[in-house]
Amino acid sequence: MASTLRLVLSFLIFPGLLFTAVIGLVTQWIDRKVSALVQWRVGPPWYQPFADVLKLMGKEIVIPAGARRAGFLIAPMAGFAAIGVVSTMLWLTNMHGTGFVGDLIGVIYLLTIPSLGIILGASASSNPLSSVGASREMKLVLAYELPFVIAIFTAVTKVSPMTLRLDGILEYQAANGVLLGNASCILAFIVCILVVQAKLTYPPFDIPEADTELMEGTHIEYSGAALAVIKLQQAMMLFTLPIFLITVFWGGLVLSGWGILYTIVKYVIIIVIIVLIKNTTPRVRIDQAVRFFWGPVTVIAVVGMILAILGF
Amino acid sequence: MPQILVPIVIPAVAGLLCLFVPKRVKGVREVIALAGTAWAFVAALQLFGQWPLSFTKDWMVFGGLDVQFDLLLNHFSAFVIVFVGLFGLGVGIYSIGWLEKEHDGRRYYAYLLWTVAASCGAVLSNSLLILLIFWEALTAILYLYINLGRKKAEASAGASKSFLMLGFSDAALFLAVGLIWVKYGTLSMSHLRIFVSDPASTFIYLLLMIGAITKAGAMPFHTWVPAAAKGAPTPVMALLPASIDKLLGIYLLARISLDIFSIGPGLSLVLMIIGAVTIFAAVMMALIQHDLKVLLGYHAVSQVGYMILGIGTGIPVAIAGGLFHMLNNAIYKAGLFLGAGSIEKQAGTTEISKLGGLARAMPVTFITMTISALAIAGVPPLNGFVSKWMIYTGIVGLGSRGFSAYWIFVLVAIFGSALTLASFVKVLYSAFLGQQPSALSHVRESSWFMRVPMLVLAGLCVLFGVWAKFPLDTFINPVVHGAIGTTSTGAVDLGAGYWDPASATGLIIVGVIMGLVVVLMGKFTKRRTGRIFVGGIRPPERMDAMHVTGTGFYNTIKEMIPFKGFYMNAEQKVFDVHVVGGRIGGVLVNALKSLHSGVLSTYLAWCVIGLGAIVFAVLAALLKEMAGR
Repeated sequence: MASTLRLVLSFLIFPGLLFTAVIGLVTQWIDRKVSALVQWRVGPPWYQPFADVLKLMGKEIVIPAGARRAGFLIAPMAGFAAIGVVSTMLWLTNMHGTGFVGDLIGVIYLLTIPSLGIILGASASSNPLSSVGASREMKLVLAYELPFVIAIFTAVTKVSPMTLRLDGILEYQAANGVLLGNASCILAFIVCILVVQAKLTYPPFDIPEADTELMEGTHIEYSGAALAVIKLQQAMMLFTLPIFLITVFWGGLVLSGWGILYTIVKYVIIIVIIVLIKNTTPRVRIDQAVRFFWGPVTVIAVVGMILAILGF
Repeated sequence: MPQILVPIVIPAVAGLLCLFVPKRVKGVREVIALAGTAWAFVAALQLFGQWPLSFTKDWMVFGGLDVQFDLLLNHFSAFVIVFVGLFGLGVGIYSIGWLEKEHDGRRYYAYLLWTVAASCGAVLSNSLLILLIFWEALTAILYLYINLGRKKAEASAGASKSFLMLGFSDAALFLAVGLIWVKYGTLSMSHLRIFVSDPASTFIYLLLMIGAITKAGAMPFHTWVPAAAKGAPTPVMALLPASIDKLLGIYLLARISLDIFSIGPGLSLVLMIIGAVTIFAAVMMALIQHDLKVLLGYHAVSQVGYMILGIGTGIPVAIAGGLFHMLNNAIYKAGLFLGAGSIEKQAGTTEISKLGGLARAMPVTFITMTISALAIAGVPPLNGFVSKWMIYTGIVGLGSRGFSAYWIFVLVAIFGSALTLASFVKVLYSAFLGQQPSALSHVRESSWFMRVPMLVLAGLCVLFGVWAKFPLDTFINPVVHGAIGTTSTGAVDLGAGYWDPASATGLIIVGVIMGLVVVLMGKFTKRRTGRIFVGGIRPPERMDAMHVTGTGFYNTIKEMIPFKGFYMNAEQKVFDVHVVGGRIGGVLVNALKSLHSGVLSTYLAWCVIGLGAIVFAVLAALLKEMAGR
């Protein structure tokens, strides 16, 4: 009973929903600040993302007339919850060194729930632009899932004995050096960065939202506090996905002494790469994105996998 | 009557009774059908755990073959008959609400009862010959059953295609049984132990495998499933191809691959490749279908791939995953077909482009189908995820034993489940969400008879996912000798993998509640309903103009280069064994036909050539004989 309570508390506060959301919003500020620097602007103050969410909380919620209310409001919450579970899993595994809730497959599957929630919520809104956005989001998931699975299993192949457990991968890295030291895993890591870009629907893969043609597409009908939850979910993903990559490829989180600084540096490096890609590439069409992921990106991932099998 | 005979005899007799109830008498047939299936189900439940229980009776002797009516209840058959009984009962209840006046209820319920009887017989039989007899009976019943469909042309086309393909596989099975009798001298499944080493035993194994995977509907013998889906009454699809045929086919495959034969790495690889190709190709076909029933038919094929892949690895964890997937698939696929039947009955069509926005009108169908659809796509924490995850973990185990191509199979399996998700997103969007066409404004929820079985199946999807420990410990672990580790808190620990569904579910529920709390903390009380926003213009009054159908959801992929050719070939049925076989047959017939020109001299010439060939052969043999001396 006490352990259940501790689990729920760690899910709600640290390192779960609250912690992830706060750090995620801070990361969004880094995102906006770096974007501003790229565009020769000053950029917003650090509390701007918090202010945005608070403002949305105070707005009224408008539900479109033909919408299926329950589905429209509940579906995005599932994504919010799933990303919180993933974050809790990653942090607790890193902190305690024991497996928790699930393994890599669990993470891969849980990470598709936010997309699924957005797709079902958008479908329920009865807006044709949302429908188009939902269809694109699903195709984007199909596109990146193929190289993503290969890249993650490159790491699994490198670990010996092969394991799907996150704690097993961390132990291997603690004993044998980070996986990113291998040529195969560098390729896999590059693939994963591109996949993270698509998972966040950041340019050049902001196709389902496509501000200039679909006007936020999948999110178009959301307003007020419901939109705030979606924004929080995006912020949490921006935080959780780099942590996932660090855990699998880059030795995990070290949370003592100078290790804290090193962990923050690793995290900021990944964030800055993502933000730079975001700010320097224009949006592609969905068929181009699918072709890109199933073509060159998959080839890179397969090359990485073959290198891993050969022992590099 | 011995207890083990109850699930076979009672439904068979009840089926006969059904046939003799006059057409005008109402309600009696339904009562008989429910009583028969319920009795079989309860009997199966009572039998569960009583293994080993056998029943032997001398039947007949012909040509030195002493045929015994030999039944055996073991760990495996005990749990399969429980679910055969459950699906029989569920579909029986559902059919009361589904059947219309123009359906022939007498035959319908008789076939339902006989299906249950023959399936229990096939699973319980310990002699390959008895199994074959029940197996053949099922093929015949399925043919008659599909023919009851209301669209006569499609129903009879589907029925004859199914009958031909299953008949072919039954012939393969028959040949295998004969060969086993000649070569090994026994047909008792508990005595046969064959080590596959020589070409003869490999051939026998392959014949048996064809029989098993055709029943289950794996590639390349799958095309009867979508063809049947087009014409058959929808509950029949839920009963046979979606659930019982899967149970039987995979049951036989597991029995031959694990008990009777010990197969080497070569045949293992063949099974794994069949599994992987089936997963991928069938789900790609499902992605572009526009009829809900045919789409579900292709998924019924695709999911078999996971089971064959799992059994093919030979790793205990993956075998357990394959068997668990067999069970899970039967549950959610039956649920999906029942949901499709509910839509068909209420909306009058299963054409995806004509459906839309039914979630409000049919909430129970919507919720149960959503749960089943998410389960088939393997969304955690539902049951489909657990069994797929077990299969993946098993394949990774194969990888750590030095099989470096393991990742291709994992990739196909995981990517296949992403494609499954995509396909069902299309279904959920176009049938239940999206805009409601005005033609469907009259649609109401279906009757309680139909709702209850759908709710039970959806409930099982949740239960077997969240509390996976229960089905794993009760049904699967006895079969695989306790290969699956479960903890007292309900977590599943496979060594290389770990999944705690109860915690995951609890946290997700807490998370969803937190999200809703955030929404309520905002000005939720001040919510209002407004028009949709389509870029500032006023949306038209008639929403039909804004209806985006789901049929074109994946046209991007359909028109991409490597897939375009694949789909075009598939539409011309290049991959259909039934059609290709027919074409080869046609070529042979035409070649032989052209010989019959009616010109006497040609016939004489053929006779002379033939005579010459015989003389030559005899002479050659004689010469060889003389040279030998």
